Amino acid sequence: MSETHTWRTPSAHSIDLDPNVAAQLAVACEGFLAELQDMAGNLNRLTALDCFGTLQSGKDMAGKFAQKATGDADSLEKSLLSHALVITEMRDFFQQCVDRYGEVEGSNASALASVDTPR
Amino acid sequence: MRGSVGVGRLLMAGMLVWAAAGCSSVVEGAAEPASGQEGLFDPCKDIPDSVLEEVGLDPATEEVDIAGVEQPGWKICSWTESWYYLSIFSTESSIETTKQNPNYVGFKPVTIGQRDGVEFHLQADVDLVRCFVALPAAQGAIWLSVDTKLALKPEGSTCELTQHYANLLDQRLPS
Repeated sequence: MSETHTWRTPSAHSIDLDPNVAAQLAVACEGFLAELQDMAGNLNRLTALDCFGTLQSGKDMAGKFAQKATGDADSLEKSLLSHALVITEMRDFFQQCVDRYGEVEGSNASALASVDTPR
Repeated sequence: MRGSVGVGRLLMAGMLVWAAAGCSSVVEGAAEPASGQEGLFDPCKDIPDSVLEEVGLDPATEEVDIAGVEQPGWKICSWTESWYYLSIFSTESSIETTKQNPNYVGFKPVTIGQRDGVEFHLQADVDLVRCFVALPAAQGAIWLSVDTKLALKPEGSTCELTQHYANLLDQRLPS
């Protein structure tokens, strides 16, 4: 995994990513993740409601719709979750890029600062 | 021949006028909100922002109903916190009616202030990422729910947190 964070050394196992771009991508991922979470929040609130009355036919219909929303393997909730997990990984990856850049920059700066300048 | 063409044009013009009048007809009256909301406690409007701030919620994160869409028979308000949503549902359904819903399980009695409420969760939610507390009210019931955000793990007990908010907000909810 470490090769993928190498800066400005394009090869088959690395990508060239400006830290400023990585930071913006991490923010964009965070925003999109929040949108997906809000959608799932609304979905959960909707499925909590008992909106089809007390007749058995209404309850059965509510059950069918609820399965489409949150129950089945191909339900909307599962689909939102798979999207959210990918976006979370992307966000963490971009944030890691930014963090590592900062660490390398910091250690270089301290190494240079400790070098004695000949008079 | 010229006369018949003239009559045809006149008829056509008449039909166009009639059609245009039909398209622009005005329906009298005003749109009415979805039925069932009348008289229900409205958590978004009836809980002041100052109270929300006192209990640690951010009024700026308020969401009305479900994505702004009214649901017949319900008034809903929710607020966003770091890893969860707190939602308040206002309904005319009694707790007894809710207990008959097979989607809800794990009913436990809880005492909130002077009220005998119940705690429950969804049948499919074995990990309790979401918990409900329903409090009896003259209109029917008021539900509170802490719901863990998608793709996050709960950072505490959703049921304890729901009860925590129920205790803090009890005095602001209708009896």
